[in-house]
Amino acid sequence: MKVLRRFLFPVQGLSPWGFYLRLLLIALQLLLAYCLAEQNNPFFYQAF
Amino acid sequence: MSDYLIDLAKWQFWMALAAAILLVAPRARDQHRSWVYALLNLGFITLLVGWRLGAWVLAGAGVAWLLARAVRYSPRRGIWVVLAMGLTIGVFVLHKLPTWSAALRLEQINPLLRVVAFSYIALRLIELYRAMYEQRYDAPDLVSIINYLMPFQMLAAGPIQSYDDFVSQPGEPRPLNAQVTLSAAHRIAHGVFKKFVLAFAIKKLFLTDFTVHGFYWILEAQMFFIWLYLDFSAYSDIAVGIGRLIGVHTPENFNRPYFARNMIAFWERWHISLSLWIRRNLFFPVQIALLRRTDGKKPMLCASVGFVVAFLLCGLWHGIAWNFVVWGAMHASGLIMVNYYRGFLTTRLGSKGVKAYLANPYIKAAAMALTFEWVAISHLTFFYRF
Repeated sequence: MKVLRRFLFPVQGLSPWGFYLRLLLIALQLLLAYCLAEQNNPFFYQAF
Repeated sequence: MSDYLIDLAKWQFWMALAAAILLVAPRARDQHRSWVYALLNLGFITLLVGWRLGAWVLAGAGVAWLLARAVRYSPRRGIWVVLAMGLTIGVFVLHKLPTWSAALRLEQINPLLRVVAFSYIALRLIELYRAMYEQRYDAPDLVSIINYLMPFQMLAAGPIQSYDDFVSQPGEPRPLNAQVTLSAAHRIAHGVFKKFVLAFAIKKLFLTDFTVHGFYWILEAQMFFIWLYLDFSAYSDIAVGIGRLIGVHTPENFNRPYFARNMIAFWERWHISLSLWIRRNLFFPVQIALLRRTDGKKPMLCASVGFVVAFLLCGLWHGIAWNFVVWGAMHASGLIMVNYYRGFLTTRLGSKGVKAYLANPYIKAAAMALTFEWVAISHLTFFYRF
C-alpha cells in the first residue's frame, strides 16, 4: 500500500495527474528536440 | 563558426551534465564539493580544446588568482588593480580583434578565448578585481576562482553572475528532492525545446540573414528579434535548470521582455545579468561621480551621460566595430528619451494624471509595440558593418 501510494503521489504538493503530465511534456519536448537537433548550431550570443 | 564552440548537439555538454548530476549533486554536504565542481568545469573545457589548451586555461585561472590576491592584500593595491584590469581588457581586445592577435603572433589563443567565451569571463574578472580592490571579501582560493569564472553551465553565453551573488551562495546547498529535480528537468527540457524546435523552426522558415528587401525585410527584423529571444533565453533556461539540479545558484536572465513598455523596463527584463553588471560597474559610478561634480543640480543630464557611457561600452563589449557603437547609441538614446518623457509627463499631467496615463490599455499596447520595434531595429546593426 505504501509503495502504491508513493507511486501514485510521487511529488509532494503536486497532483499525480500534474506530475505525470509534466513528465510526459518533458519527454515530448526532449524527443522533439532530439529529432530536430542539428550540429553546428551554436547560440547566437556565443559569437560575442 | 569554429568547431570549438560549445554545441548542445554534441556529446561533451551532456556528458558534463551527467557527470555533474552523478558527482556534484549528491555532495550537498561534502567539503570536497567545490573541488569536484572545479575539476568538472576544467574537464569540460579540456574535452573541448584538448590537454595543451586546457593547461593554458588552468594557468590563466592561476594568474587571475595571484592578481586577485595582490589586489586584495598588497600595500600597492592601486597599481595591482590597474595591472589586473589592464590585462583583462588587453586579452579582451585580442579576443575581439583577431587581426591584432595575429600581428602579435598570438593567434593560437583565439580559439581558446572563443570556446571559454572570454567576453563573459572578462566581465566576471572585472567584478572580482573590483570586489578585491574595495576589500569587500577575502581573496578567493584557486578552486573558487575556477568555479566563479568558468562554470560549465554558464560558459557559453552567461548568465554573468555577480561576485556578490557567487560569494553569498550557501556553502551547503539545499538537498535535491523530487520537486526540485522535476522543475529543473522541466526547465532544461523547455530550453532544449526552445532552441532546437521553436528557434529552429523560425530560423528555417523566416530568416535569410537579411538578404531580402522590401516588406519581407521588415518582417524579418521582427522575426529575428523573436528568434533571438528564443535562442538566447533557451541557453539561460538550460543553465538555470542545471544550476538548480547541481545546487549552484545560476541567476535568471530574462523576464518576458516583450511585455516591456519602455527601454528602461526592457533592460530590466532582457539579458538581466548583463544589465545589472552595466548598472553596477558603469552606469552608477559615472552617474554618482557626475552628481557629485554638479552638486546634484542636473540629475537628468548626469543620468543621460551615464546611459551614453554605459551603452557605448556595452556596444563595444558585443564587438569592437562601428555597428556595435550604433547599437549602443540606439539603446542609450532610447533610455534617455524614456527618462525625459517621464519628466515631461509628470510636469504636464501630475502624478495622478501619469497614473491614469500608464493604466490606459491602448497606451500600454502602443508603448510595448514601440519598445519592441526600437529593439528589433537596433538588432539590424548586428548584420550591417560600417
